[in-house]
Amino acid sequence: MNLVLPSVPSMPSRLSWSCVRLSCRACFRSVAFVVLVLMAVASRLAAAEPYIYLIERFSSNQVTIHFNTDANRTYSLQYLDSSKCTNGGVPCSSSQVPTGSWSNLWVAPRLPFPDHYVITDYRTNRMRLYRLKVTP
Amino acid sequence: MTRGGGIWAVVVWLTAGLPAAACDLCAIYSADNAREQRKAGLVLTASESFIPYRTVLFNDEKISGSDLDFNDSSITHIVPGYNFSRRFGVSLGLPVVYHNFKRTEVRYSLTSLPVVRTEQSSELGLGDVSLIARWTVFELAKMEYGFGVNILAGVKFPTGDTDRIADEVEQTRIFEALLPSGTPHDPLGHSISGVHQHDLSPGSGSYDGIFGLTARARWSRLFLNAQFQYYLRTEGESGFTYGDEIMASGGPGIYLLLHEHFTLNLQGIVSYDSMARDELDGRLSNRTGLTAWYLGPQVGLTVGERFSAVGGIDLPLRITANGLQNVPDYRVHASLVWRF
Repeated sequence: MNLVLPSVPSMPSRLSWSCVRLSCRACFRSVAFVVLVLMAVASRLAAAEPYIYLIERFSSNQVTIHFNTDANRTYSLQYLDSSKCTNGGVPCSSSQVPTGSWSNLWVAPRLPFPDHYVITDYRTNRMRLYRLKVTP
Repeated sequence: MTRGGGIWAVVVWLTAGLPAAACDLCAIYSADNAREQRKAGLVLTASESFIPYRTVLFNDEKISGSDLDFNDSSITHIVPGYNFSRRFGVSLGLPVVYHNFKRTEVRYSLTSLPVVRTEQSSELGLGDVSLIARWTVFELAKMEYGFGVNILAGVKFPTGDTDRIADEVEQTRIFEALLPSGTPHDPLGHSISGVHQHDLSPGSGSYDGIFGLTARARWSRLFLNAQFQYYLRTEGESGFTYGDEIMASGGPGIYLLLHEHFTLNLQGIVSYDSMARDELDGRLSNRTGLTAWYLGPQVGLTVGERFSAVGGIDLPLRITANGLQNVPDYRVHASLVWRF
């Protein structure tokens, strides 16, 4: 879930160095490519992917789930009690990630500013998968 | 003193120019309590301050939205006072606090999922009572000019209800119990509203010091006054401490009407208000603390030698606030004074 971003500050210097040696057309293509990359990076930074940054045991029979939220987005903390991908069981994606019917555990209110939450859940099962769903 | 001199004596110290009528000192000295012709005897002041907190700031950026939290705050002070002499008097400030508000919060629990709750309601109650003494350290009054300085000092007592602060602190402690030990965290970091519980609380639970200085000058129909206040806060309910507060205001004015039985004046006032960050158990909250500049007109009226009134509005010039806070759209204040 973590984004690995290119080292943006190094790009302009690399670009200007290579433009010296390329034709104008090639240089234009390079500039356009870098602009597209920067736009993509900016869009990813502006709307970061939902990210559960910590799950830990709490008291004798609970866990806490920690996550941050962006402004103006609704976050749903969801869970799934089975991770087995079987033909007759939980459907999975090609990368073996369960895609079955996830249940909402808690929905964070849509706020006009970023925030963070800590949600508690009981350890009733041997295992439970959690994910964050964000809209829009 | 001549008859004309008597009129001037009434109007000379008509207004002390104290625009922030929500404060204890302002309520007491906002009208003509500090005027030159102060005689021994009872004085009764009623003052009102209305402040709509409907502008929401997040790290100084204005938040836009159609259904934001708000707090329309009204504080009415009833202030009986007694002047022992021209130079010394005391006043008792009895604030009645009314808040009409909407706030959304996430209520955390150690045993169940958090609950998102929106509370749209009102809060009415007696606030913290204050007892303030005035000492006129310098006074000069001539027909054409005058000058005076007052020193004010007092104590604010923990008479107001503090249930909301206790609830806010309880929520803080529950939330912090859910965090890994040693996690740095703002004491009010669990809040998702710019209207905090302590903003709505009528009382603080603390004994606070109140200190002030007022100065005024007049030349013919023109006058100028200024005042400075400092509120020294101590620890109150559940370990919560409001930040110390500094207020300063003042400006020039002119008497528009001078009649034997009534006077009318107009004044322009610049106000500065700085609230330090609140503390919980000695830890500062970066979701509190505010600095604001206001500018606005104030009108003063006297009728006879017993009645006076002041009213004005403060429009914000600049407000900076830490974290997420609702700040004033404007401030309206008015005072009525009757001398027995």
